[in-house]
Parts: sequence; structure tokens; C-alpha cells
Amino acid sequence: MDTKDLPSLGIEALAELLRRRQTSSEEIVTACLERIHRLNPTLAAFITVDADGALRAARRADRSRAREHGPFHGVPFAAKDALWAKGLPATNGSRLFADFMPAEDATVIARLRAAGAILLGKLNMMELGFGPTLHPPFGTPRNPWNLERTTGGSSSGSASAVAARLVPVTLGGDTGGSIRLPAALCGVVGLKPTRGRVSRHGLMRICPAFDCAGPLAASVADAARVLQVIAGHDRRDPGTSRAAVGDYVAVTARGVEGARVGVVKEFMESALLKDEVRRLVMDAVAALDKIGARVSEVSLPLIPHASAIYLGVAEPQAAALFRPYLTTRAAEIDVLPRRRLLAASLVPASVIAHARGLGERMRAQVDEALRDVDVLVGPTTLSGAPPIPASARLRSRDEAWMAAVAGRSVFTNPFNVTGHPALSVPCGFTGEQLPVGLQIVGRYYAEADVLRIGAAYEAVTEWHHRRPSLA
Amino acid sequence: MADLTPEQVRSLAAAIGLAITDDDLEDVTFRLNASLEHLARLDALEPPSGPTPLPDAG
Repeated sequence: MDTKDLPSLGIEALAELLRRRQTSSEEIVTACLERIHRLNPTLAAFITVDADGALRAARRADRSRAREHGPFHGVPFAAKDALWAKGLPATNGSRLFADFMPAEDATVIARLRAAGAILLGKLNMMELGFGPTLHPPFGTPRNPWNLERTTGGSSSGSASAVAARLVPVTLGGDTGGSIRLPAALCGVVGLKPTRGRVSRHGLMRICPAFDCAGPLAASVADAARVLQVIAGHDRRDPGTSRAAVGDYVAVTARGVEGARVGVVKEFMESALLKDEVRRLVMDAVAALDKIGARVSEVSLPLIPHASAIYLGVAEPQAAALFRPYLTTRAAEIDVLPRRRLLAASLVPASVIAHARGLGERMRAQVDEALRDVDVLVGPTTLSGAPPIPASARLRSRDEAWMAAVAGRSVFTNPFNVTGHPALSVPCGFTGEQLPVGLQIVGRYYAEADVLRIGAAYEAVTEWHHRRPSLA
Repeated sequence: MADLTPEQVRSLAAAIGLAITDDDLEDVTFRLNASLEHLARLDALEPPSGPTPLPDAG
């Protein structure tokens, strides 16, 4: 195999080549670094590339592979710049934190390193993880499928780096869809685990009630491999659960026979959903039906209100968190997140309390629906990737509403409010050849169900094999 | 429907120690009015009843 093809391989293939000594970790890391060197000036996927550190770790891994067999031994990964990595900057995509150097690893990074993985660097993101950024301080992330289109976000580089095969797997953060949205728009797999399944220690926060860390990968199986390593209780994050961690990798080979799949009526009937995305999702549902899933329609009556509930809870929390920076260093924050944070600062507490109550009711509604079906499915996004934002100017409150949450995360934010695990898998391409995703939502701590059904769907489709021409 | 003027929005912000520049003011006003309008629609929805509801305010 030509070493330049190594970054295109999945975790299992790389591990097999390493086991057979047909390649070395140094060769894999070097191939990834060469690809990053060639493509990152265009894609702006990475903020920091730790070439020296990664090569040193790769040589150590090669020397120790006879006696150490972690599941990721010698395999590279990269992480959103909202996650701490000891000795590397963690900018959170913002000038505010350009000089912040964490003294320790985020738990998810520490666990991957303990499993033998090698951190290549830190990935670009929307500023503070808080929606579109007009002038990203570390370069404008570009979608590998069309360089004039957004990657989505906020885990922008985490998705584009996998799509462009700069690195096999990445870590992202998801507060309203920030893993699933860019995964869908860049044509890769992204998983938001159940609230409490994965530690958030070392994840720079936006909304503590909703923030999650999770994997992005080129296949469901590779996302499962990452989850296997990062899931589980962490004493440094009291919000993590002691619920047993399943065998997420084994379930990806189990198929979908007999699984009960509920298509969310309110998603499919949304007036905002583009027809071609609706058709692609219906095709995906038909494919699941054909391979043995039992498909039915499910109604979640609060879903049309989910964006307002999300806005009422998440945005004021974010505004409160960033208040010290808004009062003293507002001019250093990009115009779009700054204006959004300022508006969210003025939402009255009575509204926030009511929205929180409705969020609890929405969780009960989703739990109830998941008594009759194993998973819920629907689109991840309204459309393929939109153009990169070119203007900050809003002309009406309707535009403001769409710019806030309703125009982007309408299908993803409900499951940050409710806490359920949600996976996005590629399910086709629009007429403009832009990828879109199928979202699969499961019961609390039932990541195994969403991964099993996602993998079964992936096995009978070819979307995840397509590569953008630059890759 | 919420219909705060830009000056009202600026005053609300000032009350909690936030300064809004002239450049930002129109946009922040659109955003806040949009948020309040959509959040007001939630008023018609009942949250789950808590274990200790407060007496009716009359």
C-alpha cells in the first residue's frame, strides 16, 4: 500500500497493518501530517498541528508495540479546540483564549492517549462553540465537498478533517448539534452520547446542562471504537453516570432485524425541511425497512417548540457563562456570537424557568415514544451545507429567529434538551452534490442501539465510501 | 408580541452592566424581540406539574 493512502483507512485497517508490521505508526502519522500540510491552508480544519509531539509519540509507539496493545495503539486522532490537551493551546475558537494553555488533558483525550492513540493537533471551531462566526480568528473552515460552503459547526474542523481524510477520527463537542450538524454537512459520522455517558472534564463549556463530548469518524464502527474508550464514569465530572458501558463495537455487526424504528412525524412535516432532504431520509427509512427493521410513524408534539425551549434554556446559560468577557472584552468576540450572547443576556429568568419545565416534559415525551420503538429517526439538517456567512446584518426579527437556532439546529437541539443519544450517518447527496445525514436517536445509555442501526444502514449503502474530490 | 425599542434594549443591557455599541444595537434588538416572541408562545404550554405547586396568585 502507498503510504499516502494511510490516512484514508479506518481504525481497524490501520490496527491490522500495524499488527502485521506492514506499516508503522511513524508512517501513518507522517502521511497524515503531509496531508494536513497540503490541505489545511485551504480547509482551515486545524488551529494547532503538533507535528513534533505526534512524531515523538509515534516513534515511542513503534518501539513499544511488542508489549503494548491498546485498541488505538499508534493510531492518530485530533480534537476540537474546546478540549484541553496538556501543552497545547485551547483557544475555544476565540481570541479571548488565544494564549490559554491547559495544564492537563480533558478526560476524553487522556483516555484515547491511554488506549495508545496519538494526538495530531487541535481543530478549528465556531467561536466559543456558539454558532456561526463571521470572521473566524483562526481561518474560515471550508467544506471539503464545496469550498464555498460552510462545514457547519461548531465542531467544524472535527468534521472537515475526517471528510478530507486528514486524520481517521476526531473528537467534538455538542451542545445543540455541534457534532451532528457538521458531520451531516461534511458527509461523516457523528455521535452525541447520552448526557452523562462521556466525561466533560476539560471540555470548555457553553451550556453546562447540555454540553457533551463525542466522536466523529468516517464509519459508524470507528465512532463506536472511540466511544468504547471514552465512555464511562469520571470522578472529575460528577455529571457522568455509573451505568454500565456496553460493547459498542460488537453491536455494529449485529444487523437491524426486528428493530423497531419510529419516524418522527413532526420532523418530516417541517415546513423548513428541503424536499430533497426529506426524500433522502425517506429513502433511508425504506432501506432500513428492506433489511428487516419494523418502521412506524411516531409523534412528538412538543418538537415544534423545541427550538424555543432550547433557546430559553441554553442561550441564557451561555450568556451568563461569558458575562465576564462580555462586560470587559466584548470587542474581541466576533460580531455574530457577540450579538447573540448580548441578546441572550437579556432573556428574563421567568421565561428560562418555564422553558426548563417544558424541557423536562419533552424528555418525558421522547422517553414515552421510545417505549414503543427502539430508535427514532429523521433528518439531521434542513438542507445541504449553506454558503459561508458573508454578512452580519439582520433585516428583521424573522431573520434573527432563523439565525439564532431555528434555521440550523431545529432537528438536533431537541436531544440536547432531553439528553438522549443521537447519531448522524451520511444518507445521500443533494442535487448540488452536498452530503446530508440521517439522525438516529435512542433511549438513555442505549448508544448500542443507535450504533447498531446506523451500522446496519451504512452496510447497505455507499454514501460513506464517497470522498470529496480534494481528498 | 415583544416589541422593545433599541433604546429600551440598551437600557436593559446597561442595567446589568453590558454596553451595546451603536453597530450592534439594531441586530441585538431584532434578536431579543425574536427570542421573546417565540418564548412567549411557550406560555400556552403547561410544564409538568411539580410536587409542591404554589397557590394561585389570585
